[in-house]
Amino acid sequence: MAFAQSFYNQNSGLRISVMVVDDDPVFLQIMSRMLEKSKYRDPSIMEITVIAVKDSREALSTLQIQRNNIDLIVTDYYMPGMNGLQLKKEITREFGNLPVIVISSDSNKEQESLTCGAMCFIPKPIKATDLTKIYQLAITYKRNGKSILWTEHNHQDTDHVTIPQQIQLLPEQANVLKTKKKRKFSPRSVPRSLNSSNGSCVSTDGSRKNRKRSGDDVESLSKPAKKSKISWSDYLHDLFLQAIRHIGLDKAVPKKILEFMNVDYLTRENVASHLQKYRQFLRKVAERGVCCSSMLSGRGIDSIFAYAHITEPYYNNYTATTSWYDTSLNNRSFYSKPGHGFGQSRLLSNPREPIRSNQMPYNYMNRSSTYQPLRNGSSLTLPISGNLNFPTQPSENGGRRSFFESTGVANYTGQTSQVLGFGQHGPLAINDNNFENNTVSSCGSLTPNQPGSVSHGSLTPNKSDLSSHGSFNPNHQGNSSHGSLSTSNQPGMSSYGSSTSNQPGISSHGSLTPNQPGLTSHGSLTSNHLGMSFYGDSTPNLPTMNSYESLTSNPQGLNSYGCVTPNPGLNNVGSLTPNPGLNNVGSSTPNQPGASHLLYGIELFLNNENTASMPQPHANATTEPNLGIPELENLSLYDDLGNINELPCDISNFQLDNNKQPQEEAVSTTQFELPASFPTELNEIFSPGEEGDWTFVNINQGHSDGETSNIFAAPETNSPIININPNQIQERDDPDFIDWSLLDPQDLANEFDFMDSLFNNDMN
Amino acid sequence: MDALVAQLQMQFRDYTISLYQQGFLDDQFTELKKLQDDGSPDFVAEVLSLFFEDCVKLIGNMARALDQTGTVDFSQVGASVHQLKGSSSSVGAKRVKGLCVTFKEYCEAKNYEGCVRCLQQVDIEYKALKTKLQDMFNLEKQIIQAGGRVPQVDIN
Repeated sequence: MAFAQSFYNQNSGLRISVMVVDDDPVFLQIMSRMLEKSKYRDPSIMEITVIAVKDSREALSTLQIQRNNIDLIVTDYYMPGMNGLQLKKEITREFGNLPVIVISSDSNKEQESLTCGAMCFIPKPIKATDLTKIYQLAITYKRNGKSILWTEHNHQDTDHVTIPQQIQLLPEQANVLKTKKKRKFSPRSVPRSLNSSNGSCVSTDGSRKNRKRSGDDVESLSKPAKKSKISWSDYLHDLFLQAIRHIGLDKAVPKKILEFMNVDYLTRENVASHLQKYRQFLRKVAERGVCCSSMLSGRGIDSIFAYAHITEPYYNNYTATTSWYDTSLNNRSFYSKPGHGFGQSRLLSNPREPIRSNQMPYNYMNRSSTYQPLRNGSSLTLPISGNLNFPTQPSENGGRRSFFESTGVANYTGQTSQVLGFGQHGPLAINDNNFENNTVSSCGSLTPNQPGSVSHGSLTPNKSDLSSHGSFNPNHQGNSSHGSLSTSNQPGMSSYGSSTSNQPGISSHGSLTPNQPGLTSHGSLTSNHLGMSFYGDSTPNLPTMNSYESLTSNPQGLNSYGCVTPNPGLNNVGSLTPNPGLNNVGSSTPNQPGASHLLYGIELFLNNENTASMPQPHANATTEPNLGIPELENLSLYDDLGNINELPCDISNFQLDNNKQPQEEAVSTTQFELPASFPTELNEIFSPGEEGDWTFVNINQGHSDGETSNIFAAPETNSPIININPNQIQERDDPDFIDWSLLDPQDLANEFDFMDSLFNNDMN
Repeated sequence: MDALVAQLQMQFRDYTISLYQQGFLDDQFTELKKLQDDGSPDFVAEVLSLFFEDCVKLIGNMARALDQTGTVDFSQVGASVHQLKGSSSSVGAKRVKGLCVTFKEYCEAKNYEGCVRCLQQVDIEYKALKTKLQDMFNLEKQIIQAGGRVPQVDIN
């Protein structure tokens, strides 16, 4: 808790400002009071300010005035004029991804709210336990915002720094703080209780550094800095990476990098030290058996960068020894600009959930999502038309060939990483690719790593699944990358962001790692075995559906914030981490049973080989995880969408590259079946916001001509909603409150078994 | 005086418990009480007055909506019912809330008589609750005036 404490001490605590919108004055008063009083529950909160407004119009105008002061919005659903969801959309449209919680006495609205992108849904009457959720959300978001934004460090401002709407920080925004390198915070791997309101969880060296950095920032913030300290914001780091890419790692010297970056407040020394760290990081990654170096240097980097500037793969993982660069993976995605066309970044940037990874130095977080290029339709992105093919699981299978040969070498040992790109571009180079074909993957890069390669934006479809977007990185061990989708091991669909199924590895941020049959989506899923999963990771272990943000099922390990680790249960929200490891704030660990209550609206469709092909939608992990088969009729896509039952995107855009994989078809179609309604459901899950940044890919059930890849791109406004397979839920967690610190040892067992089987299966 | 205080306190306790037992109040009310402290000693009273005012307003809306000659706009009635349901659940007015649930169903079924009946009942209920709570507050006041402290009543 060193960080938290230091943060607290230094920074005079955290001040959160919440806006409550409700036409019922009684409720407004009660809610305001409850929130104000709830600060006493959490020592790190100094103050909670509540702004109460009676209707949506007023809410919007208040937001306009006090945009930076508001950390969270709680809105009623039924209101005259604009209802809560409409308000939410409007807010997102005008102000970016502010976290919005929807409340209503009508609990039927939950589904819809979550679909719409609300961070969560709380039924009225509000209980004290709900408050915890609320303010923790606010804290997380705020903290993340701060780290990302490194605002001018201005003592007063820091309290109000919030939601970073865009990851890219302008140079002016970058904080220039003093560097206090000597300062180190104490143990990084101190397990943090989930309930810590301090979302940072240190799990590795990197985190220590991160922490140090954040700590430094905090400290500097509290007093006027005399020296200028550079904080490597996402933006800066991206620039740095671009520079390296441009120059070539081998030839990268601080001077050239500095020139390239062209940031005036940056000194050569800053760059030099950063470069050094970066190199160290790479080295570590390489040592881990992944040959990142190849990737990083030369081709790898180039290829990677070829695609939409996906940041270095190493970003993903966070290994115990990696430098803090790794941590970036974790959080990375969530902060990307809303508006990114790129699915990957979208995923990664989960607007809603300010997931924090454990370690987080926010700088790195969300690095990966700075996919600017994405925005421009860089090749990377997603779901665009491309071939997604993903090969498979990296496991040690001998016979696997990497699907994408174009750029890389299919190497079992994971030498080259090949990243799949879309259509035109070759695969990104990432580590090893042992792809198994079964799945359809798309977008970004695929990196089926064996020994842990880091890939960024890689997809690694393991078995037959659909992976999409971002990168998948089914690592065996090793680092997963950021923005990778890790293969869904069994039949599953992962999508978006990255999924990384690592064995021992570190998973990265924005990765999805659907282990068994599950659908994971969004953000990242990382099923690590031992690793650290991070932020924005979701790791659906068993047949679960994970969604959103991250799910990380680590058997042990640190989970990071914003991770969802559904064990056999449904997980949702922010993060769920069923681990025996450290979990962080914002993580929910649905252990065995259960649907975690966290509901941030994740509905996972479980696409499970083992189970019926019929997806079991929503067991929304809401208060009652419905174990029954949800009536699909209730699902409703957004009206705005116009096309309710169609995929927003044109399916024809996604062409699986069947040519490349002879086996693919067979495999893909057999592995799992998607129910016919799946696309619809998926749509609903990933309900696109009006802005429609998401590209929906239809998950091909094999109906169409052998195309099996569908990718879901996360809508910019929504977090993917994944239905959790109710079948998997055995018990229910307390519906009212998720004990995030709950770590169930059973999970451990499950995960391990699962992971083992997962990887073993792939090997066939 | 102590005897008086003690007696008043006991009366208060019994009375409060009876309100819960009779279903007038529920846990949410307990929560509400917890929000009151020395910093805001009248919080509960304020909220409740707001609630009752709200009741009057909403019931008025509903009555007007139901009283239309011609077609009754049930959605409007429903909206008001919903709001009332929300407020009553927030304050812990259990009976009122229960009635609202039924009322809502009638609205959805567009059952005019049902709605009217519910409306009448809601009216009676909230007034009854108001009276009871007023009595309770009076007791509290008396305790304080007698120099005592209002006891925390544990409803279990």
